[in-house]
Amino acid sequence: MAFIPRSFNKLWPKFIVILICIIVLFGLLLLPLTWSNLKHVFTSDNKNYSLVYSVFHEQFDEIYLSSPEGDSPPRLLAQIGRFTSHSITLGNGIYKNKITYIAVPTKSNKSTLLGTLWTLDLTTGERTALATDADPTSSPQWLDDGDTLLYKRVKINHQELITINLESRIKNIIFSESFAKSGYGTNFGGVYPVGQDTTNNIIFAKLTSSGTDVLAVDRITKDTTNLFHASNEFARDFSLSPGKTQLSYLVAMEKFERLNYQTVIYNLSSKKLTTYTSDSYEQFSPKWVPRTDLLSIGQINMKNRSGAVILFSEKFLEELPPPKRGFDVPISWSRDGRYLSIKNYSGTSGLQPGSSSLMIIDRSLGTRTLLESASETTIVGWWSND
Amino acid sequence: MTRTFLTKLRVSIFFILSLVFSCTVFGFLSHWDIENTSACAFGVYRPATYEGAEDRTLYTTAIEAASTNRLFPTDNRFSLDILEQGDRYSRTTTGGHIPATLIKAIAWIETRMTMATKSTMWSGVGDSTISFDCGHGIMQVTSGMTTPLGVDNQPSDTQALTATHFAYNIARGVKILGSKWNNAPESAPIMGTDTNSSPEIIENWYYATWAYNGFTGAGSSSSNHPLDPMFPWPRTPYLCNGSQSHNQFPYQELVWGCIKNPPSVSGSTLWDSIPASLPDLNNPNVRSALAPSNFFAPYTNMDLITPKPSHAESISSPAENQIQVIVGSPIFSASDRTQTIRINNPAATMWVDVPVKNFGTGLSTWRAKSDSGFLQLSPPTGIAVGSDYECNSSLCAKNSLRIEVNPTLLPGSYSTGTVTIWSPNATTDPIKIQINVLADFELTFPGSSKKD
Repeated sequence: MAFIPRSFNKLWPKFIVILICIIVLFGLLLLPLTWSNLKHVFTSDNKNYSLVYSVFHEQFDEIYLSSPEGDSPPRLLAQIGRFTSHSITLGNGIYKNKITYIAVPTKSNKSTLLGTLWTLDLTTGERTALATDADPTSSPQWLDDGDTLLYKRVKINHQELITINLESRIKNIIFSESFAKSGYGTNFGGVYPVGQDTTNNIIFAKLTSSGTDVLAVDRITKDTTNLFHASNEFARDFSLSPGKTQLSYLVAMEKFERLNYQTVIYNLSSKKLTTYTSDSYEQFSPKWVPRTDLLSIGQINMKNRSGAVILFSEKFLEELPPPKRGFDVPISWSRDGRYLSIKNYSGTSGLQPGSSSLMIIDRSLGTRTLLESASETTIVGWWSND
Repeated sequence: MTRTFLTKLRVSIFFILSLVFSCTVFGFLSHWDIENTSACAFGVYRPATYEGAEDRTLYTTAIEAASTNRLFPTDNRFSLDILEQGDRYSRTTTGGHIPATLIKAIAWIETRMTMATKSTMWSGVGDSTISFDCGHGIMQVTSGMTTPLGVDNQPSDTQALTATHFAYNIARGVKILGSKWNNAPESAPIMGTDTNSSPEIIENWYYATWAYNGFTGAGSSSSNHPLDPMFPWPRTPYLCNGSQSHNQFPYQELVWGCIKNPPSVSGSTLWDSIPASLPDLNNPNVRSALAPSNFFAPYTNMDLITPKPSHAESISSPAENQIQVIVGSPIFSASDRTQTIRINNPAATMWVDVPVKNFGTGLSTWRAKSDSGFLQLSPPTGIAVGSDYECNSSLCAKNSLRIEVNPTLLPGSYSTGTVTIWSPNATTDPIKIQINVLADFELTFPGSSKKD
């Protein structure tokens, strides 16, 4: 105490007051900058998430479970035999510990156009066949928080959307239309299931020679409503926001005398279409971040030469940790918004994508973890059995 | 009470019986439907065929010969049609050829360039590959193979040759590919409007290759449209090494992937790599041509310039002696000795095996038919291997026709029938075998045999 000047003892309360004032002032200055960020900082739900994905082999697919850190080897959950060279078609997400997929039977003496709709319980390994008439080119969709599945059935040019209740096994054809065009002498057009809106209507895209329309069908009355015309061309990669009020998708737009995919968002309430304009030369696979109004988009940014995934909303823009080379395509978010599974492509564009690797981005730590690069993989989603 | 109970019981029994009957009928119909679906030209039989050596030399040589119409140039069923070229409004016939590498890549995608099922040994005889949609053999020929097209609802000679003999199968597949090319401009778009749509350029075969698997549009079943949202985007090009799923690509991209990445067999690639170009899907003109509004016959707005850089393949035509090995000079033979079959039990199955030989060279497709319903033939068609072909399996030596008697169809206790065996690709005359059947048992229902 002897070396502290006496005057300090008198002045220290003033110092403290001044210091507090500076901190408060600094905080107030930063507040507008951080507000929008704070709104979107995820709160971990303290669950242990694992990524579920499939690996292609010529005669079968394997379902794996991997920790997001990749610190231990992925665990093999199941091996699914099916028709040679035709991978299973996985539904997105895991509900009630189950995944869903469509597989063309190993010794299909009918057609590769007819698949079997399955569920696989990740805890027990039990597989349940639900239908044998599913179109294997169309992913099954979970409805009603995992109580129901939606799948597509094709009979030559006749296409149907069918729901099946997992418990009662009751099937319901909710939409049916023939796409045969007399005089056209060809096959064109069909439906692509999208999801379920706030009133439990099924949303789907319909492709015809006029382009892509988005429709909603009432599951009880089966009345169909044309929601909007998405494009005169091919619209793809539809994704419903967590609040089911916005629908994002890709359409090709001209940029630098080239046609590349760009993201469009349709607000189902206000019926407003917004094109996401950015420095992106090309965009990929828009996916909504759970529990937020953020949209994650894969992109190739010509300005800063980045292939990083961007997160964006009206007032927010964030770039996820960029790849060393190539570009990232977002696939699936963990429910707390911490982990994003991506496909990294080593190439320079969608047309020349190079080779792909399955990776995980930890938004909390800003890290990228490689899971698989040698084989063709398909991501199912994130699972937690805590 | 008792009467009510009995009434209820009757109603219940009637209901149960109705249910059983309905289920039986429904089950029968379902079964019939499945059987019908998988019938194809040969019904339940799988014709026997010869599988060449693992190095596929026999097949690649046959493909090279077929690409320039040198396999069966005078046989209209198997010869390559004259190919057309030019723009939509001034099409001319020039002859031309199909790039052999394109055909090899198609054969690899279809069957890994194999003629027989997986269980068949290399250089052996086994069941011909038949797919769920009646695709037969190496080239998975479907056109003309879905129903029997011969007399009396039997397969035709053309169908037998396509199903059993690799050279005819390849020639037929090449002919079909050529016809897909010639469908333009009447019912198919033209690729290569800036290169006079020359068939020598591999890239100009984009639409014909698409059509070989079905010129199907986006959204339809088994779509091959490159912009169909069912295919992932971006998608790593097909590497043709078994590491990627077929259903992630349009058919023509699978073939293009194999042209660029030739598969290896026993350490050597089956053909030289050609980095064939696909249409530039980011090009506004290409995109416009492939737009939903344009996908209808005659596809006028889908015509496109040749994808660049383009690649013309020089002709690699095999020597005449190599073609002679493929086509061969089969001399088909079977014993015409009269056969007598005795049956002393109506439940017994009796048969006689007739060896079928090829004393010449190459492969002899053979066929057999019976003039009597009680004589059943198995297999109704097969292959006899010539002495110049290596044959490892025991089936080569034991190649025979089984003539089996169905006792329930015998018209009398002494019945006679004739089985005719012939070869559609050998010059030998048909061989007739008389079959005498002596039934030594009592049968009581009309039309069956009776003891003398």
